[in-house]
Amino acid sequence: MRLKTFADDDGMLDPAFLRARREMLVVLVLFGLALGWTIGFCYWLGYDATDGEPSEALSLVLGLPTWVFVGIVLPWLIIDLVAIWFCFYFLADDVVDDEPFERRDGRDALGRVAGAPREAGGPTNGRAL
Amino acid sequence: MNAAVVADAAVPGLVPAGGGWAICFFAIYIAAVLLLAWLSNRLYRSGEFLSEYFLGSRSLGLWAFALTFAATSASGGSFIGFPALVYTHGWAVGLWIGGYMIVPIVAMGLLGNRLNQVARRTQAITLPDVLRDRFHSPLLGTTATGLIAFFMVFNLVAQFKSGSVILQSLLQDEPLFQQTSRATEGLLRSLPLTAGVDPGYLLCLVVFAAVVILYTAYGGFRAVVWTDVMQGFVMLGGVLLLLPLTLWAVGGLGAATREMAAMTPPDVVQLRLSRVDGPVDERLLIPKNTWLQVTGADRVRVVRTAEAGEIPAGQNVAWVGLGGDAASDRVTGIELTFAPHVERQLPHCHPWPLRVEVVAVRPYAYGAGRAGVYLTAPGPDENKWNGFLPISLAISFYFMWTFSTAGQPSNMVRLMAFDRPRTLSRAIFTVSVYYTLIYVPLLIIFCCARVLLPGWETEPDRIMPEMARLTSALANAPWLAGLLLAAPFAAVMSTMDSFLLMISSAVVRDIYQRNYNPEASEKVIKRLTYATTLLVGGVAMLAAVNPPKFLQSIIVFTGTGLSTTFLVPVFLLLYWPRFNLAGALAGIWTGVTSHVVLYAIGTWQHPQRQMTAYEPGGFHPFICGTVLSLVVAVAVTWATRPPTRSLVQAYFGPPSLISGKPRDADL
Repeated sequence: MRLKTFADDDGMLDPAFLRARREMLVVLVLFGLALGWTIGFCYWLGYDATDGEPSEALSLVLGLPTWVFVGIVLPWLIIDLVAIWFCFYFLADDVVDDEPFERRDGRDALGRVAGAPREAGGPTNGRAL
Repeated sequence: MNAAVVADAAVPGLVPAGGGWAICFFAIYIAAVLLLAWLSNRLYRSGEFLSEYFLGSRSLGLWAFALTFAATSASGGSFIGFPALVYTHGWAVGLWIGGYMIVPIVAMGLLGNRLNQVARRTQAITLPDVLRDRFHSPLLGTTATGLIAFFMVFNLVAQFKSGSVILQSLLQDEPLFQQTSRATEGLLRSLPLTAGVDPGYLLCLVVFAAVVILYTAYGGFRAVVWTDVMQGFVMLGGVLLLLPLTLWAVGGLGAATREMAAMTPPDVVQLRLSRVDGPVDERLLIPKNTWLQVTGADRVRVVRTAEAGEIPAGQNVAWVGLGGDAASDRVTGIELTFAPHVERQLPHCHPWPLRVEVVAVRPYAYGAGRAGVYLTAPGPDENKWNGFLPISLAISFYFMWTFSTAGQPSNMVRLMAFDRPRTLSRAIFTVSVYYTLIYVPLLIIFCCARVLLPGWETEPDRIMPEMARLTSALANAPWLAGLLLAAPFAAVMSTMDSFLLMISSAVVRDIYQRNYNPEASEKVIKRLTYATTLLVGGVAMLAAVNPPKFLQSIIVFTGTGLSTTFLVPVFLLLYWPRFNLAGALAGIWTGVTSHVVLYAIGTWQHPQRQMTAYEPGGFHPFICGTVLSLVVAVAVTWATRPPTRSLVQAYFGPPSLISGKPRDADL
């Protein structure tokens, strides 16, 4: 029961973990949107429903068949734009409380962070190296 | 008349490769790769050996991280198999590859920052390290190691073969290469292992394998990453050169697409080829890809052979598979059905006095005789009645590209290696742009190839080299072909080196150091690591001398098998505090078992027992296995005891709880 309190209480969780979890959820949402767009438009415009007379429906955008442009190339370019937002404005940039885990001076950062988990039966770590 | 004469005249109109340029570029390329390995070896004189050798000391910067990720994911398939598909099925293949638009965001963003955090906390060097430390379970670590080794050894053998085949197809017209392979032929015949092996293939295998093994063993992770960066630029450069050349040759994309709109797929035909002037004195070869005009037809009919025929001395009919059980006097080929192509290829038809009869015609199962079928989905298909890409399959591939890339252990290791979060976010953007610049142009280039080079349905895997030659000849720059052909080669190498390193890290770190001798001195570890990398590479090379058939199926089987096994357990152990050891083991074994079983059923059902996947409801085993693995892992976790509080705290608690150090809460 105490464990459940721990896991449910965001205050007890590592902020770095919460950030990573939020990023993961946004990734899944972006995937869903991209999937919906591509499959939706391609199914609507790209599949040969007329069965026999598709050449009459030939329409091009920039030399590409319209369905390829709207269903694949356009979302591809939009995702590149979304990636600008996602990567430069949304994703965590260098974050202060990751500091203890970084190896700045080539020293084993574990010395500073691994005391507690080890007392608590924590992970065997890379010390054997 | 002799066979050599026929072979030379067989491909009229085809431009010869630019005198030695392919070999020249290949040599420069190899020299550069070895130089990079030497440089990176110098770097790890100082510092921890294992962490440096297998993980580059977690210090990958933006370009190294982004391009090693992109280059490892783009294997030979991207430059040989994918162009072949575009060529054969038209624009519908754009939808097939469409998932790649979101691959960088999903494959790097889904696990990226979190996996890096966890690996830092435990100082993990390999993926099994992460699994093992997260639950303090040597059992889990060893299971993971075993499964990685199992899948990757198969994969490595297949990759060695595909690399050699590509190298051979690039070099086969070079006189220097032909001389060397003829010179080695006698030696090969005398050895039991190599008797009956094509000397050209073996030569390529040895050169290719030696280079990859050498630079991987000597330079470690950093060499692999640096060569990946170079290979990444070579691939990008190749594609970006080929695009304008192609568009210029075809007179603009609009013109090409309009011509494709009028095209109809070829028919698959059985040909009977006989000499009109009676039996031949000498054995006569009719090579694969020979254009022929059908004799005595009421209209002009042009066909092309898809296999080599042979008229034995004293006979007048061509046979295939002579000497085997399946010898037949019917030569498989294709017949052009699009009038402008028929007219254009007519002058290229072979002038020898052959009587060419079409004894059987099998139209495409989907799209035969229908203009416009190359422009729309699902795309024409020779065998499938519902076309190349029914919508259910399109959805399936969209999921598969993204999530199977996310689940690749070789990609996960890279996520453990970047230096700070800023690098990850920049890399996602860089790889997104990189994939846009690779896959969209490839789609356009090989749709245009349909217009420029008709009839390669006989051997679609050669369309990339053929396009490189054609465009560089049209541009009057034969050296360009050498440069363009380096791209597929770079793609294979950059995938193989990381797999080789994965296996040797599994052996040295996960098996030897962590289970048998945690106190081993650095010197011992170092020697063992070099020896293992050389040994694993050497064994894989020997296995590839007589390689398994069905290469591509093995690569797909092992690649998706690894993702099916690891995606769900790694995802849950990173994000779910309640996840426990029983759940992780259940998830791993459910993934492996369902994947292997579905492949076993598919292979058993196949008439020729060919390695195939059984796809329940049209969904690939990767998707079935992943969903099943998720359900079982969650169910088993809930049914068993929760993990100890200290374990959860160690991975999900804030650093302040662990180190007692005050922190700036920024949330």
